[in-house]
Amino acid sequence: MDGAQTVSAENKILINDLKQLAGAEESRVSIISAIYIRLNDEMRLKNIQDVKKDISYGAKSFGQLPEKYAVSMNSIVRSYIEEINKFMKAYNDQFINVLNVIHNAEQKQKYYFYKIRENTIMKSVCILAGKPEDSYKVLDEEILDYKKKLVLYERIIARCDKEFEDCKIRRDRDFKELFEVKEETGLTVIKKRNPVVKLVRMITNKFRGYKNFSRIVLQKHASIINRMKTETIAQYVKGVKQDIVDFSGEIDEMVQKANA
Amino acid sequence: MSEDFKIGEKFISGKLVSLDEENVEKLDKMAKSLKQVETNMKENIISKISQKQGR
Repeated sequence: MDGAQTVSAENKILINDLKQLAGAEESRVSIISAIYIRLNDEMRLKNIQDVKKDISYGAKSFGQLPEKYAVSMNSIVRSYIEEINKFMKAYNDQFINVLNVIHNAEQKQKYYFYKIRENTIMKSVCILAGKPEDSYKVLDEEILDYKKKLVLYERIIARCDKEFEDCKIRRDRDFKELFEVKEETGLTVIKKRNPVVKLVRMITNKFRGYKNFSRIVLQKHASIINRMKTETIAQYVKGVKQDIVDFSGEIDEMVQKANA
Repeated sequence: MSEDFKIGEKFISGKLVSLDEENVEKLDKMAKSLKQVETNMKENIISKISQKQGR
């Protein structure tokens, strides 16, 4: 094999290696994304189930039949879903942002692998042509610089991996804070009632069951949703957006350092 | 190949995989293992390039 054939064969090996690397990176990111999305769905479904269970329990406590509160319950569930979707969208945006950064960093690394290879060939040509060492010194310097950039982009990738994890932890924590169905005092009292209270409850349920159910259970959810709509969701979304800005700023600094 | 990675292989090859709790755990293991594969591949590429440099 002559020199040109050797270079061509070695280039093919490098291209093949880079393709395999890209395949592994793509597979890993698609698994991370699938897990992330799957947990979004799981949290959404669990919340819907918990809300329904909470309302059903409350209805039972006030002697209400399911068909009587079906419309109210569906409306409450729909409102929760709307708020969850706003919340999830903010976190999905953050996740996609990290995906984008990791993808760019991986692309850059492949570019610098190629540049190292390119300089190496040029250096070999200089050596074969018997050129003085000074003529390829700059190529060696560039190779060192490219290797340094590879390390810096590796740090960016590691930072993104950490951000994937942090993003999941923050989403789970915030979701719990916002959407976890908590029992209010009213229902706890009902749960602990003694036989006398039970009898009184049966009688009052006959006359004011739906009114009390509506006042205690439905109103509880309505005020939670109202609070979410007017303040809390917006605050959390703002917080997530700030996280995106902070992360982007940090990455910009790292990229600037890598390109310095 | 261990049982854990079979699910990951199936997922990567584009086949349908139920994302239940057990499979998610297996996929998570697969992602961690792929990270190690990536690191090894990069080291391998650098090593090959560096060998050429030494010629």
